Parts: sequence; structure tokens; C-alpha cells
Amino acid sequence: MNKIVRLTLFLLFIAALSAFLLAYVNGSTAPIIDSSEAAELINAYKEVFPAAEEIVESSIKSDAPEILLINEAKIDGKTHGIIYKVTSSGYGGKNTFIVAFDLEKQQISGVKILTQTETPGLGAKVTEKFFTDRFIGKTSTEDLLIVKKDTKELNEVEAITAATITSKSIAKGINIAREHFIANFTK
Amino acid sequence: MRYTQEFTKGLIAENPLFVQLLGTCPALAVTTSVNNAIGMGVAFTAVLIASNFVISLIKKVVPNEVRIPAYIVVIATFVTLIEMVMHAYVPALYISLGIFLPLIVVNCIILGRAEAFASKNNIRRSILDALGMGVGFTLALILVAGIREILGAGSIMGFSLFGKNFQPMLVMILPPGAFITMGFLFAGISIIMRKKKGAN
Repeated sequence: MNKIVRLTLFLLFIAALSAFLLAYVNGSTAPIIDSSEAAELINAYKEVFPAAEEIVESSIKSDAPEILLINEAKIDGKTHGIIYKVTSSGYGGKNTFIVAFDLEKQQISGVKILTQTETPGLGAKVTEKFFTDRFIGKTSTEDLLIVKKDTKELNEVEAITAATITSKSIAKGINIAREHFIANFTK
Repeated sequence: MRYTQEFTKGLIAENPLFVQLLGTCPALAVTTSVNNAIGMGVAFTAVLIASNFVISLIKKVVPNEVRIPAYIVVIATFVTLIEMVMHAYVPALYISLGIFLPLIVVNCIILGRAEAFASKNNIRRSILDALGMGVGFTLALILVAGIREILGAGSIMGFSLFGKNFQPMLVMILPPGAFITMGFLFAGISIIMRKKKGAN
């Protein structure tokens, strides 16, 4: 009996010590992590809509579970582009990315993947520029289609080799944002 | 055993992956590219050194009956600490290593070295042992990943080797490729080991 108490107390002690240590380090690192993530998000916005001078959260919201956040990119106080933060299910899990639409040109001005859970070496290539650049300049008036090779139309995007499901999931997320964009921001 | 031997034994003679056959799950999962292998190896070595150090330090205080849960708490705490500190101060490194860090908690080499070595040896030996095992595991991962990346993607560390016309063997960077590569490597190494034993 005595022994059980002693062992329990020992485990309790070591667990409490580690909890204390973790709580302390978390308390000092969490604010740094939050502020660097916020700064990163702003940089990401600038990347998908380089001309933007100011980025403000839009007053228009969406009920779609895939659309996490809607921002307006402004130049001289006027809205020139809409930036969506979108999540969609890929091959391995949820992928989160931002996509920006140019109001004037009616086309996609940029895509950037924020987090992904795809297969390393295959689907994980979605984060790379060679793939996200394939969306730039595509039309925002029609649904995007993923094709395996040779894009002919303005709404076709070439898939990543051996990662068609991942490529399609990104296109699906963009299409959901695109429908919201057409319905709410174009007259 | 001399101190230098505590380090060198992990490289080849007791290599954790090829000889002890420990840590095969992460070795299958992350060896799709050499960059991933190096990332996993470095993060793994850091955790192993820290956990071997602490476990050697507390080996006399830990009651024998509850040593395994105590070790797991120590290892999990270290992994989480490293994850948080990395995320805060070196976010670029965190983004490339982030997915491997939680995997290290369940890496059997770390618990294996805690149980088989650090709990029985002094601090200096334990750190040298961790360093050797860490480097040995990293080199083994790089070897597997190198073969898979060259054959499966036609590149090494992201640099293309054969130009645009090369058609890579895609299967090599898919899960079956990991089993095939490691199967051949294990077979090759046991042949070498057997010959060595025969010669002695």
C-alpha cells in the first residue's frame, strides 16, 4: 500500500513538473507565435494581391463553411480586389489557402497555400510557386477545371503530376470562393 | 568501453535503423526527399540528446516500477518544448520540420535508448550515445531518402539531376517505394554483416 502511494506521488510530481514547465514556456512563446503569424498572413495577402495598399476585413460575410475570412484589398481607399481565406479537403486532410480575385479584370490575381496535409513529395507540392502560379490570370467568371495536360481554355488549370485529387481540392475551394465573389462583389 | 566508442557504435555497428531495426515507421514516412530526411534527423537528434541527458540525470530517483511512464513524460515534454520554442524563434525551421516533431514522441529509438542505455550509464556516456545514435539514424535516413529521391523524382535535395526528359519512377516516392528501398538495404547490410562475422 505504502509503495503504491509512493509511486503515485512520484508520477504526480513528474507530471506536475512537466505541466508547469510547458505552461511557462507556452506563456512566453504564444504571443510571439501569434504576432509572427499575423505578420505572415499580411505578407501572404500582399503576395496574392501585390498592388494592395491596404487590406481590411470585408463587411460582407459568407455562410459557407469553406470560406474562413473575406478581405478587401484597397488602393486609394477603393476596393480593387477581394481576398478569400479558404479551407478545402484534399487527399490527406484539410488544406488552407488564400485566393485573390481582381475586380476589374475579373480574374485570379494570386493563390497562396497557408497550411497543407498532403503526401510529402507529391501533393505537398501544392505550396510550390510553379503550381500556385498556374492559377494566376485564370478567369473568375467560370468554374475552374483541373486537367492533366495542355490547358486550352481560360478556366483550365494543369494538375500536379500524380496529385490530381490535391489539385482538384484546391480548385474546388477556389470555385466556392469564386461563386461568392460573383454573387456579392460583381454587379 | 572508451568514450569515443559510445559515439561511433551508433554510426554503423549498432546503427539504429539498419542494425537495431528501430524507428522504421518514421524512416518509411519521411524519406521522400533528402531535405525531409535531414530535417527529421536533426530534430530527432536534438530530442534524443535532451532526453538521454535528463533520464541519465534522474536515473537514481525514478522508481523502477514506473520508469516507462516517467520516461515518456520526459520525452513528450521535450518534444513539446522544442516545438514551441522553434515555432516562436525560428518559424522558417518550424514550418519545414513542424510535421515531424510530433512523430518523434512515438519514435521507439528514443525510448529504446532511454531504457537500454541512459538509465544505466552516466551523463557523459549518455550524451555521446545520443549523439552517435542521432547521427547514425540521420545518415541512414539520408541514404534511404537519397535512393528514393533520385529514382522517384530525378533530383537530389530538390536539384534536378537528369534534365526535363527524365521520366521518374514515381512508385519510389510513394509508400511502396519506401518498403522496396528499405528491403534491399536491410538485405544488403545483413549480407555484409554475415560476411564480416564469417571472416572473424
